[in-house]
Amino acid sequence: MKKFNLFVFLLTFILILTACNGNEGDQTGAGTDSEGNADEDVVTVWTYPHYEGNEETGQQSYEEDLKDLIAEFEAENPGVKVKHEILSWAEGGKKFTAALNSGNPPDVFFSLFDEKYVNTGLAVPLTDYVTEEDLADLNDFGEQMYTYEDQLWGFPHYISVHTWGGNRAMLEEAGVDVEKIQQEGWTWDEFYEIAKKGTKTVEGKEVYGFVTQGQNEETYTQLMMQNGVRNMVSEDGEFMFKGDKALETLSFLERLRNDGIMPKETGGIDPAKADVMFNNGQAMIYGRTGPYKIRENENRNADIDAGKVDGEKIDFVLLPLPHNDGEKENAFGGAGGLMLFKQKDDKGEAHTENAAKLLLKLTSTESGKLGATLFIPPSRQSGQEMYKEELKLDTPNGQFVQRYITTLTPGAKLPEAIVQNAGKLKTESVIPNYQSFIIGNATAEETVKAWEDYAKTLGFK
Amino acid sequence: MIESSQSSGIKTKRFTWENTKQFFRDYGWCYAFILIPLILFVLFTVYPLVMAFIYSFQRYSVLGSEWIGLDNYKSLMNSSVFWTAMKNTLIYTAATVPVNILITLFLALMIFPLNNKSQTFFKAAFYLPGVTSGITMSLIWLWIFDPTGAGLLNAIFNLFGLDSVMWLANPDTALFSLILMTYLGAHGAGILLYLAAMGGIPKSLYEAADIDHAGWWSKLKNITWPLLKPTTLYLLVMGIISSFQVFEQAYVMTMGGPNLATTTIAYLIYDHAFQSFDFGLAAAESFVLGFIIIVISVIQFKFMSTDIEY
Amino acid sequence: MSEVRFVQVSKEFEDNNKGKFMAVKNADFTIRDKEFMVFVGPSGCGKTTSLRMIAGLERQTSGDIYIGDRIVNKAHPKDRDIAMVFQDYALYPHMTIRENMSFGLKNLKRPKSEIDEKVTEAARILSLETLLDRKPRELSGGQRQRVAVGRAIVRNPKVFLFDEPLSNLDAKLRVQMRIELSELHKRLGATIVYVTHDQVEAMTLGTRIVVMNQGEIQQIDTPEELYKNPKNMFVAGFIGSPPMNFVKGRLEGNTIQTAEHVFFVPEHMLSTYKAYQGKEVTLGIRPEDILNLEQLTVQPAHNIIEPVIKVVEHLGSEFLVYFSIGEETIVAKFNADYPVKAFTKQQLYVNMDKMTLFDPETQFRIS
Ligand SMILES: Nc1ncnc2c1ncn2[C@@H]1O[C@H](COP(=O)(O)OP(=O)(O)O)[C@@H](O)[C@H]1O
Ligand SMILES: [Mg+2]
Repeated sequence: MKKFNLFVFLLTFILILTACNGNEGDQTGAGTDSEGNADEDVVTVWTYPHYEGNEETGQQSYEEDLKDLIAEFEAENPGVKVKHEILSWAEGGKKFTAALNSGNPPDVFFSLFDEKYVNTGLAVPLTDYVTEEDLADLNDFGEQMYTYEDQLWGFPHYISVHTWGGNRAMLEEAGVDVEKIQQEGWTWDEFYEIAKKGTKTVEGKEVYGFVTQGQNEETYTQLMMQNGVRNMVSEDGEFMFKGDKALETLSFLERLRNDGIMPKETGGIDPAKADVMFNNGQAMIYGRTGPYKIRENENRNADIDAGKVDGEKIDFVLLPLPHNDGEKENAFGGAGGLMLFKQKDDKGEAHTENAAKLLLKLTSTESGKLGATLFIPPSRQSGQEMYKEELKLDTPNGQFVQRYITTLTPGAKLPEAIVQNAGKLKTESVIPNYQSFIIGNATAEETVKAWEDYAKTLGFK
Repeated sequence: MIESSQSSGIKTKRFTWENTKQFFRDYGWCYAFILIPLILFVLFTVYPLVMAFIYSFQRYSVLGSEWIGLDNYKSLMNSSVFWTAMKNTLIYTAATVPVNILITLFLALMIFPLNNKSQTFFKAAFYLPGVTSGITMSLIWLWIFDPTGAGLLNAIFNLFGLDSVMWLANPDTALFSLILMTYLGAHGAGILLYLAAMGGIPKSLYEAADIDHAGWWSKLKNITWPLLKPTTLYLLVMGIISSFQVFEQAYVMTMGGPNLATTTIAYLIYDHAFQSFDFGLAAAESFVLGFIIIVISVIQFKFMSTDIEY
Repeated sequence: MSEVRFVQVSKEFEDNNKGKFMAVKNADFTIRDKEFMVFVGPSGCGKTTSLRMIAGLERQTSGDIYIGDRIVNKAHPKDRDIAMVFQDYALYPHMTIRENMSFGLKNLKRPKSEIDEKVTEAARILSLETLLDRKPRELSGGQRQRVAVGRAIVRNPKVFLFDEPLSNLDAKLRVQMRIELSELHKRLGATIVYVTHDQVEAMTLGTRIVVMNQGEIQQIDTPEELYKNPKNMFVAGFIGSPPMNFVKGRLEGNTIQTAEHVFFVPEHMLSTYKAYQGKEVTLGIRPEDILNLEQLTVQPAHNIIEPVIKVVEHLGSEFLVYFSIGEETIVAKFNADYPVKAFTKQQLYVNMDKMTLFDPETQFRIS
């Protein structure tokens, strides 16, 4: 393996931090632009390669679409220049983290909302820059996701929602009315019975009723949401993965595993592996997945027809996560969009305003293409309209997505004082103990007990 | 006679301004060349190091850090996760470094007697995996460790009627799995060093040993091994330093899990810095790690160094 | 009985540059028990190869090698009961002197008390007692050399092999070590095979000497015999310092006619050279057999030459004088009591009683 030298990495990082600190005295430069024309304002945006171009269909890559939008923006705003950078998915987060913590973030950055960014004091609320129309057009959940301490900190491109997925042929063989589940949801018990029917051995090959990843606590967390518990830690500092609710959810997973409906190796299955198993016909239902899988599956079927890929074609259906009897469906999702930042060496109000304008331009109705291309609902109503063809809103899957995103609720926005400890609780206890649980090294009771104890040591209620 | 009078001549040469000027005229170039790396060293190593040291006493924040004394150090000493990471790192080091040195030595011993062409082939064969991208390698390893029968290791296990093992998913086997990766990993650089060192041992020593009734084991134990000691020491020190900093395997393969079984100190530093933005704590952890590495290296050099000359 | 016998032994090397190459050709000799046998010859003549074949470090291409009564053609070095002192000493650099000397016995699993005893004894013989706990690099060249010898003698082998052991020492030390080795030979009463390119060393040390050239053995004899009765021009030119002078001429009656001189052959020798009457011969005269006329009390009738001296080299008690006869440069060795000057004419007497004649074609001595 190539050596990743963490020391060098940290040192370089600290170098960046310190080099920027060295500029502190140099406040006179504030407001003026160091490069290029003195009366030209340069605004930077960092984002990711959301989709690739495709020569056959003539589809442009995201970067090309972005350049088009930037060109329009520059034409509309003489005197403002935009510098963009497409980060790599693997390293981009680290790069931004380093830049942010050294006081030099880009003005506009693609990110899910993160309280930690706000807590650095360098994020800038959009509240003063968005118009009434923008807000009216924006999906409520999307708005809530970027709202923190009564301010809007970003504007989403799209609403992502986590779903489960199913193999229609297998489901119908088990006598399931797929559309009914899509429209009305299902309970844990209904799910259990169906999944049980789907669990069998075909030509010596195990087929599981349900396959999910067990590398971290995600599946559990999302099932807790279907059991009336939205957050691990509530906004007033209460640890919520405790008591009967937690026990009930873990027991449900335990039962699936012990009864062989879910592989006993679930602890070693990562999301990619779960996806492969589903594609190979080794799973009737799997999760999590999302609307993006519809596009992926279409492509796969086309590739099979073209002889490029070996395998059976699959009629893929999106499914809601089952909910516990008496509890409501509660989809887990997020919003991906652009956040606004200023630098430690503040470039002034005019600059921030230009950056905000750019941000709104890049998240305008046209930018709904980003979501539509990925088959994720755009965050603007107008965007959904504009791309309703691409989004297949008239198919059962499309209608399901429309319905399902209405069950999204935003998670708790934790106050600064407990954010860090909540992170610790998750990485040092919730995930590790869940990992022990899912492979069968700890019982549901032991796991909940371990969580509760650790939460107490970190001062949670 | 002549030699000694010459050397004393230099010693007694008086230190004058003229001499100094002459000295710089003769050797000034050298200093100019040294100066560039020196500046880079100060800029990119010393300065960040000093700043990191300062951060370790602060709660870091980009808009103004807060001085909190030894709190970072205290909190890491009191953190069970830190000690778990320490334990994991020590186990990893103890289980990888010596074994890998022996594996490397064994491979080098097998390659050394071969003719030039075969030597070159094996050197390349063992060296190339080291330059393959880490991501590619990890994909292969993820397949090898696949928890179901689809994985290579489990397929072999099943063939012998053994149950599948959840290599990376089970806290009892995850760290071992990462260790196993190093055993089967790239030994190329070490092999090259050993081969070079073996080539430097005069052949006549082995002939003398032949005449001295030494069998192959006696020659290995009494001649080859001791004379390779400088190389072994180098590999040991470098191995320990790099294994104390092991990060990538834990990051790519297991994200420090399951149940913290593969959380190493370096991974914890990464996690605290880049996930929690707790740069003060991460800096403190870095210094503890750095301190341990320095102590171990000094001990090794002190007790194991030799100066062999043929 | 520790004799070493070569029967028609040859060694061929496969060399990258030269191709197949005979380093030793049909060597046939016996080294007798307790003999100090010296192999001498110019560099590359096959001395070391011969020695290494005795040691078993090199396998002969053909022929048989005996040590004692046993054929050792395929025996491993450790099974030949020999010890060897290498040219570079090959001391184990990481072991102390004591460990170096005891390594062989340890491999033989001898009891510790015996090892200690033998090492102490060897150290005493070689005056190494105070150095036993040092490492080789803390020793001088001469001391290292003694350690290498010590390592050989502790095992008390049948045959000792020395490969130019003194070549890395300075001249003074070399003379001293020569004496020590000579004494050691007497004391141990062992068979020694000793390789050197230095004929002085060979002459002073050897009971007998093997002279080699280009892989072929030229002559095997005692030092005296080699000096007095060299078999051919090569041996004659190699043994003695400075080497024998050669002058081309023709045997006519009782004279040898050279380009510039006529030399008279002593009557008693003429019968030996009958077959060469009227033919080309090469006259061999050792430098010590050309004398300064002033040195002589009786004026000789013949064999006086009067060349112009070109160079005079002083060596302390004696000096070398160079002059030309025809195209050959001739050297004479004079006693320092009778100085001569360069660029002067000097009357010299050639002592033909000590002359040797060679067949210029075969290069063999005419006898
Ligand atoms: N291992 C070898 N391979 C090829 N040629 C060799 C080898 N060892 C010796 N020779 C050649 O054999 C000849 C005799 O060598 P050696 O016995 O070492 O001579 P010396 O009389 O100087 O000790 C030399 O020409 C040398 O180059
Ligand atoms: Mg030699």
